[in-house]
Amino acid sequence: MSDLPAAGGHGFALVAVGGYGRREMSPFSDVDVVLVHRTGVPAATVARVAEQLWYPLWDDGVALDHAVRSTDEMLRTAADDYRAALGMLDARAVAGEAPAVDALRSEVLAAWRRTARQRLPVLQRANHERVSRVGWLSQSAIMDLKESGGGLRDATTMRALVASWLVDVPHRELEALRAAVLDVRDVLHEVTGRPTDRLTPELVPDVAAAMGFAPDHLDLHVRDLGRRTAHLATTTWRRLDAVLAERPRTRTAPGPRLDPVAPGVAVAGGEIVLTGSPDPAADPLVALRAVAEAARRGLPLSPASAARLASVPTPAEPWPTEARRLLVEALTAGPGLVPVWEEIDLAGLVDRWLPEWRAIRLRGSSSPVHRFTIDRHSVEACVVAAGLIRDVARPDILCTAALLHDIGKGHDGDHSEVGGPLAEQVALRWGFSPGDAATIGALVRQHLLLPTLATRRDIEDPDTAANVAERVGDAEHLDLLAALTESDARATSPAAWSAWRAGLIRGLVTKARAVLGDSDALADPAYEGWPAAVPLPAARFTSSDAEPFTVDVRPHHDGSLVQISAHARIGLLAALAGALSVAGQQIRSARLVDRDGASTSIWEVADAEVEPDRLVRRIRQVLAGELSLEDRIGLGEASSAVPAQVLVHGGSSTSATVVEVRAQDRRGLVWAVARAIAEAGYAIRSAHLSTFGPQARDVFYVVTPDGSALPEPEAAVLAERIRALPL
Amino acid sequence: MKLITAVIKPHKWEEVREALETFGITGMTVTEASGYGRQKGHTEVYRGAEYDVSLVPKIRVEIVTEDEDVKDVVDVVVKSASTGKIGDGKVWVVPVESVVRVRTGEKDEAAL
Repeated sequence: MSDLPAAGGHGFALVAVGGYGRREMSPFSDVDVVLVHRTGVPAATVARVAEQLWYPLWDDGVALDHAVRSTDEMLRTAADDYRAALGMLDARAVAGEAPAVDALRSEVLAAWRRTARQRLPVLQRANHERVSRVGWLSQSAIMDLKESGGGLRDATTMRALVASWLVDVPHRELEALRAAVLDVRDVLHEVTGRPTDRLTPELVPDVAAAMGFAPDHLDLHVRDLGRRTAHLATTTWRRLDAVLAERPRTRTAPGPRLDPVAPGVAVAGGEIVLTGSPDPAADPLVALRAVAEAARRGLPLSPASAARLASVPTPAEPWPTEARRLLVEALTAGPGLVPVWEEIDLAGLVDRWLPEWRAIRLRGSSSPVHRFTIDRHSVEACVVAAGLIRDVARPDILCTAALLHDIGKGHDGDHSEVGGPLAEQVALRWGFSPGDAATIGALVRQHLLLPTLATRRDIEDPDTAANVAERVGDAEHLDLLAALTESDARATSPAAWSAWRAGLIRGLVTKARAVLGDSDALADPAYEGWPAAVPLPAARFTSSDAEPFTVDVRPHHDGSLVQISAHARIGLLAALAGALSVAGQQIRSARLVDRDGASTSIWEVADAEVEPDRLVRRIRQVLAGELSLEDRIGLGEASSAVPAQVLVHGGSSTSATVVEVRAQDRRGLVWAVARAIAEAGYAIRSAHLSTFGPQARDVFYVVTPDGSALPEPEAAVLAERIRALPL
Repeated sequence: MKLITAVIKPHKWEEVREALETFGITGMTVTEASGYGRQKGHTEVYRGAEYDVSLVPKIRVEIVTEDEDVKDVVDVVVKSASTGKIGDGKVWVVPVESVVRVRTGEKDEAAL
């Protein structure tokens, strides 16, 4: 500044604000500065000084975030825009007249304190909006170190809350968390070479390597930081709310009221507190009572009480009845469970009641559909289950199974198989009877049975329902499994319990229940892939078309049902599948039945608004041979380095051969497989298609020309033929 | 053949057009556009909030020319559009596969 003669005597100062002011810049961060001058300096002088300052920086490629203001304008901007005020709380001069900047900062702080009661609620609402948009750092697949809940912006916000003098925050903890997140961001900038705050899964290995961590460890570390920061923020905002709601105390007002609710537990000031009598260190039931009350009433544990819980003893194993009853009360309480579980997990209590939780704590799910980490997902499943307890005879078994259903993840192997015995062990430890513990273990082992069969088998085939009935054994167990399935799905994402999926699962459960009531209820030796409830339409073709066909579209769940009738011929299902693909339809399932030379097929597609004309055009082109599916959607070269898997499921049906293909999802896949099956001389009775991220899992019910299942050797040959395709 | 696109300050458009005409370029497409660069559309003495981004009016000039002329045309545009201040804009070049004159059907170089 002293090099700029034009600047002399006008109170010019270059002020660092924002991240630069807070000294928390990462290698590629923007440089946030304001050129401040005394009010009343001529505009031409200001412009000259500004240009002399900025151009060298721009020409050097500095990412400058600049502004020019008089001291009056600085104060006005801070008063008008809380974000500018936040940025100025740590303002410091990096060049020019420093004392003037200190005075300015003091005024901004004083104004902040004066107006805090009005401005902080605005800040709080903006925070809520941001976090609901971006998500939580500990829970998101893409970890936004700055904007997510529990990220750097929350940490900065808390410094602003402290600056308001209305609340205090544990300084050391906050600063340690902030510094740790900034360390990760520094490495993130170095690794990517850009000013990014988003730690995506693809970047985790490189950032981890640069920091000397294993990738899993970095993931856990960042999520843990996010969770602790979020917890600090939540607690601080809650304290602030209490302060803002306080009415002025009169001298005669008594201290906080203690409302006892259970031995050793009371409600005070909207929080659950430990009264100290009985002593929680002597009576393990006190902690359980506190947790149950907090969950039931939807109240937070007071921070002091939560801290005390860290050192309470656990009940003797197996747990006494009362201990188990209290735990079940918490698990069946509903949404109140979520914040309480978070509190006791941070306090270290969950580790003592459920050491197996460690393997799933803050672990991201491998599936892209999950909104939550596995631990939070399990708690959410418990909450959903609490809403379904009317549908089952044993709510305690349901909610315990919901909490433990993914406990096998984080270990090697199939998480259902691993989780079953683990859950049974935990249940025994918690004092459930051996029979009940076995049921919980079985539920955990089977928790994916219904969604798997419903989406990857023909639910209309009586054998499918018979398989379910055999696995569950009785109606009570079926009810529990159905409720657990719904809880798991709804706690995963809306797509996991869409109208279509729910319809399939409910349909399967109804049929299984019928079999359990009367094992012959659904027996149908003549089943040929067509649901009994759907009447076969009479074929009505006009004779003018060379290749006559009819198309009927109607809404179905969250998609559409397309019914196509045409002359029966080899490879018709493949051709129609191709035509639908070219018409942009995503096929979920297909059924085809031949009767008197006419083929009728019904197709479930994902699109709720199908344009019938476009569909008709494509089908006509394909049936007339005018459109080469080979050219339009031919597979070409194998698109994935991972080879496709072709499985023949022997026990799934007695009336057809069930073939499952797992491959990279792409447009020509169904058509190519269907064509291969037709070329081998077989017919497809029905197809059940689902995608799981980038992978397609397509199941085909294949029959011989006379309508029966393939003999085993033929089935194996067919599987080989499909494997040979460039999937 | 190449497509030369230039985004420039509106008040420099006349100068650029004259310079191009002197060079021998007689046809071009001109559109009004808005944009910003590193400075987020802020002037040297911007007084607003640091995180706001402004769209600044610009003129987009598009010229299809033969490969041999590209370097010279770009030079002409850059020299005539420059003020030395932020917001001067950018010029870039992309390949063109084919060109047709609508009235006569002439193709490629004959259409330029």
